Amino acid sequence: MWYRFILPKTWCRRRVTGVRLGWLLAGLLLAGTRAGAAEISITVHDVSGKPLESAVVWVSGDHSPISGQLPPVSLDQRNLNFDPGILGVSTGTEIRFFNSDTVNHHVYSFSAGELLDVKLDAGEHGSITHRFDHPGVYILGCNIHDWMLAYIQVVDATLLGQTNADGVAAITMPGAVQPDARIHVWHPRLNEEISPRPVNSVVQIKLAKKLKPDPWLRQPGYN
Amino acid sequence: MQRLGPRIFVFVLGLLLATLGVTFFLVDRTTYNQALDQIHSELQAAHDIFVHQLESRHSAQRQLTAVVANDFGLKDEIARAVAGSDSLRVTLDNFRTRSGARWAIATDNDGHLLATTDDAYNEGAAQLASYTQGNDRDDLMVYRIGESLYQVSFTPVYAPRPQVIGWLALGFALDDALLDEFEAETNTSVSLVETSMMSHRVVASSTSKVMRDQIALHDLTAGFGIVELGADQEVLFTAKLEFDGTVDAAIVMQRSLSSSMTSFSTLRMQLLGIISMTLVLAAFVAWWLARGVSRPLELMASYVRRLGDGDFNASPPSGEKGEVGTLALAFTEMQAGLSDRDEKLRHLAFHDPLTGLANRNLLIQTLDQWLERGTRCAVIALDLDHFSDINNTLGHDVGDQVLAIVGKRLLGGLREGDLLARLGGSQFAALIEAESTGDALAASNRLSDRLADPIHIDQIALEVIATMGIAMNPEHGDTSHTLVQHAEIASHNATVAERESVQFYDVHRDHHTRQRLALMSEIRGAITRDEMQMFVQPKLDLSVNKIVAVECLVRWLHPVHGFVPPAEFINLAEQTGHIRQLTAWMLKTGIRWATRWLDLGLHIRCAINISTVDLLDSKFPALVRMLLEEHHLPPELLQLEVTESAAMTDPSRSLKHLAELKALGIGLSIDDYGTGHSSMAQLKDMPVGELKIDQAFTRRLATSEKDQIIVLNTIGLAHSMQLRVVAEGVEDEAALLLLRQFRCDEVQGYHLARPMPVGRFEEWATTSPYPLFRTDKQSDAA
Repeated sequence: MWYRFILPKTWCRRRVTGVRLGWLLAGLLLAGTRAGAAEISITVHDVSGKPLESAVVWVSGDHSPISGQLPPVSLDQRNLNFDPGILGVSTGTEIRFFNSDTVNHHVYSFSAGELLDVKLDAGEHGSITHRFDHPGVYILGCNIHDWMLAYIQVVDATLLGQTNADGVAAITMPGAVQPDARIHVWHPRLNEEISPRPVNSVVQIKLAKKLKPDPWLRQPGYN
Repeated sequence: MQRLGPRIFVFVLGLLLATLGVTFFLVDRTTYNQALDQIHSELQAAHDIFVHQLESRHSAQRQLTAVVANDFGLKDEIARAVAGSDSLRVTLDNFRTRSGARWAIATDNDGHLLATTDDAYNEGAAQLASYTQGNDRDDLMVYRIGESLYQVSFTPVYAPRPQVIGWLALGFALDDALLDEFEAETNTSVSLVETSMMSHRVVASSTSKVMRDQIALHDLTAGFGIVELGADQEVLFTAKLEFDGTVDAAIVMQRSLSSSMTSFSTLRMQLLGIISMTLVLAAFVAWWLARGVSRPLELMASYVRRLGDGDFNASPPSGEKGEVGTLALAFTEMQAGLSDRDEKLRHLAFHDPLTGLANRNLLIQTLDQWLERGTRCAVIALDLDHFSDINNTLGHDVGDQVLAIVGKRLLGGLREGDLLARLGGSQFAALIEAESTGDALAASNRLSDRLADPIHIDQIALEVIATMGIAMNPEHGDTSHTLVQHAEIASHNATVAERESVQFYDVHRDHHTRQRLALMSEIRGAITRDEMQMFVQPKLDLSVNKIVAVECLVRWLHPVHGFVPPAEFINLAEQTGHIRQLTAWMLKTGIRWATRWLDLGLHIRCAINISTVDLLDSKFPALVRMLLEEHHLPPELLQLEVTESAAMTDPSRSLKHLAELKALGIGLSIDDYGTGHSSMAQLKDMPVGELKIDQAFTRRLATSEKDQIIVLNTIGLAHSMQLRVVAEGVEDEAALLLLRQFRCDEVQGYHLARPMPVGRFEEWATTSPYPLFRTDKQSDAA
């Protein structure tokens, strides 16, 4: 696998707006009340039954407050590619850009009205950040390396995760599940609209249609 | 063209010409078609190359467009663009310039036009924009914007791939420059034509303006062909331009026929050159061949022509081999034979083969020469008397030997320089020099002396007597022919004159003068002009002593020459055939008179002499019958007198006709009995009823005892064969008495009456001592 879900290694303190501050406080409260916490597991299989990795899974309708500041998420450039290729983050999350390669990169995105234009010199180490304040799918490319591609799903939810190689994502519910809470699944290769599901401890999702073609091009001359 | 030489020449050359013509035609057609096929495939290849170039260009243009579309600045402009954005337009123009495109347009992802490099294309670009979606294909794309055609490459603008934020289109012109470049590379004119049902429009072309207009007017159905474009003939290959666009277009590949056919034309000229040279060469060969055949033949022909003209010294054409040589050899042999034959013929022409003497031709020729020299000379014609007896009794072999011996003897009787010739039969002629009749007589005596001794052949001694006639120059003639002829006539007269065995020519004794011959030709006219008269001589029947018949005789009273004796013209009339008319006239006249006499009660028979010619004429009996019937004369009143010799000329036919005449009921008698060679035995089968004893026996009957014996016995013999006997030439009473004693049946002669004109017969009868025989009834009345 050439992309991986990477846990944030560093935490970056950011100024929080009033509304968001409330969410953050709620989240912290949830995290604080671990006694009532329950873990749910969501499994996604494609139409042929193979596990779908890196799918972003989140729970909507969860009004639990955000417990403290949202942790920043890292997006690395490694082996002339984005790492990871798919990221799911909550609205307002700050992305820290790294460049582990020995070459320069020029990351850009014209998605959803956000104009991202970041030059990353070789060895850049998290000093450049970009905060995604609006939900939506952001497609990132490199102006120098046409094959480089990354998807960032920004959602108005704090309970989110991504499936592992077994197609399983685990989300820890902070407390009692709200009645209108629903589980959402997204992946850039999805060829169908997956209806939100009620929250259960175990949710099995099987895709009805074949996946779209893999959008990641192979870098010419590599692999 | 009748001559062999020219015919061979024309035939050989014609054959070759025809063969070469057909060959040339076939080769020319084949190579022409091959050349055309070649051009076809070349144009086809050029077309394929052209299309391939378009595709290659398109492929390159697409890559170029993709590179342009990948530019971050462009992406940035498109991502931030609003319609009509000047910034994007300038950016596009920049890339247009870099890529060498004519124009560039950009749309958003929904196909809405964002910007174009040139406002002039706005309308077309807006239209094009609607095609963008999904048009990033490899297919050739040709679109028309304004008046021009463009190769267009569309490409999506990724940000990044697969996110499409817009579309970029670059248009590359299909213009004259492109086609000129192509023509420079391929030597093939190319035109791009926008086609429609109504008319065509040349969008771009490497050809001239004039040619473009011509092409636009041409029917551009796909295919290959030669067309008239203006003044030139052009080879066109037309193909539909296959592309995924908005217009119908055709590619027209074009070459001028003449330039395309250069190699073919060269080949054709070479071929014509070879053919021409072959023909010239063949003409020489044919001429040589024709001459080889005709020249010897012409030489032979002239040689043979000279031979034909009698030039036996002509030499055959030499040096010829083969058939002509053989022919020449054969002609040479023939020449020798001809020469030999000619010599023989020449000898035969002037010599008598039996005796080796000269013939009449040589005699005449020699005589002509003598006359020309003025030599006084004489021709002595000599005939052997009764020579035919020798032939008849001893055979022609002996006769020939006699003639040969006579020839030799006569030759011995001549002097040096004289010429002896045999004229034919037993007739000879000697040409001698003679100053006087004495000389001639002396010569004739020498000749007759030579014949005095009998000729001994096979122990038989033959006496030969010659009669001779002499014609002197100039007394008896001044031409060779007349001299010889007169000598012969004199010789003939000498024969008649018996004891006078040599006669000089006497014009008064010549019955064959020209004047008389001319007279004879008037016989026919004489009959119609009534110059002929009938005389009759009465015949007395001795048993009743009455005149019972008359012999009808013809007399000719010529208005100029007066009386012409029958002996002179009857013979000639027989020879000329006029005797028929004469006999017919005699028959008519005699029958008319006999009829008249019968009407008067006189029973008088008419006796008419008929000749050999009449007797042998198969129509004669019918003529007699017709005349009898016409005048209603009883046939017994007509008597026909035939001489023995006439009856004996062709006995079988004579007998047949005599039998037919006898069947008519008329009387037939044999005239001049006793003068011919026939005997009673020969007459016994003839259907005659009467015999007339010739006057040679009766004229001296009273004095000649021998004649009396002959006449008496003849009468007795005739009576024993139931033949009546008539005696002619009774000239005195004594003869009449004797004939009565001999019981002769009828007599005629001067004693009774001379021949008289028929018109005077009746008058004569009144004075005659013998009455006329009348019919019974009238006889009684008398």
